[in-house]
Amino acid sequence: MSISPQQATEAMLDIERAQRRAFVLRGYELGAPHFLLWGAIWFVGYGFTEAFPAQALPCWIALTAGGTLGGYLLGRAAADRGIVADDGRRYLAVVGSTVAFMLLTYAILQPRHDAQFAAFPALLVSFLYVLAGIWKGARWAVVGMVVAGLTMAGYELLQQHFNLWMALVGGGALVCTGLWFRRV
Amino acid sequence: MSPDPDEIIHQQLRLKIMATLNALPPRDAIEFPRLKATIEATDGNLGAHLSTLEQAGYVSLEKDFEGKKPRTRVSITRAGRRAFAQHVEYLRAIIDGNGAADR
Repeated sequence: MSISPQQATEAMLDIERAQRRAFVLRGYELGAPHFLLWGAIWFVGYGFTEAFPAQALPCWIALTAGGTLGGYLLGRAAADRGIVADDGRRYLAVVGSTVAFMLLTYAILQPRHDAQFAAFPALLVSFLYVLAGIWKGARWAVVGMVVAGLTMAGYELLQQHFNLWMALVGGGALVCTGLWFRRV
Repeated sequence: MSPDPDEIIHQQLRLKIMATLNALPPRDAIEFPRLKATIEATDGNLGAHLSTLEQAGYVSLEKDFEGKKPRTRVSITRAGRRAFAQHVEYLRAIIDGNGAADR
């Protein structure tokens, strides 16, 4: 068998591409249930906020805690199946950092309108998805840009019913993303 | 002294199959349609190459049912991981100029 240095280089590039593609598709597969979970949380949370704005804070605290626990358990389940090495603690760290950053930003910038409070987490999460997309695959970036675009559209055009918009369109976009990520 | 090339693995599509399977964590398997999409192969082509790799003892095919739907899960064997690692080492040696191009 004869293999030239050029053929060997091409073979190594094929290996790298295949491994990269496997990594990207695996990321979509693992991300899908998290999108379905958080899509449902957005639907309930923003929907509740639209209907009962005065009780929005305890509702969001409970939903965020529940979503974080659910995401952690999804991570643990993947670890138990041997799919990922991480046992879910990294997930807790990401959610904890994101919530802390959000609260600190509120403390400094002090938003004045309800819609500002509601729009910021969605934009922050969109930004994180775009960052993830730079490393983990284009679909993440697409989701980030779509959710950011929908958030801004609702904020600019439908501020009176922004929470309803985010429940239906934002939550719906995350659920659709979950279904999209499940497809190969 | 570089290791020997593996003629079974070196074929382009089989190399991609092995690279993809080798990237899986231990104990994990990948379903046939997902593997097909990952390496961008056709059903027939992938099936034929998987048979070759299975006969060599490099991959393991597990067939079962998910509900009423037949399912094939593919995983790399320990011998497959070892052979892939040796082949990669061989390719690196060629690129570094330490390997024999003709055997």
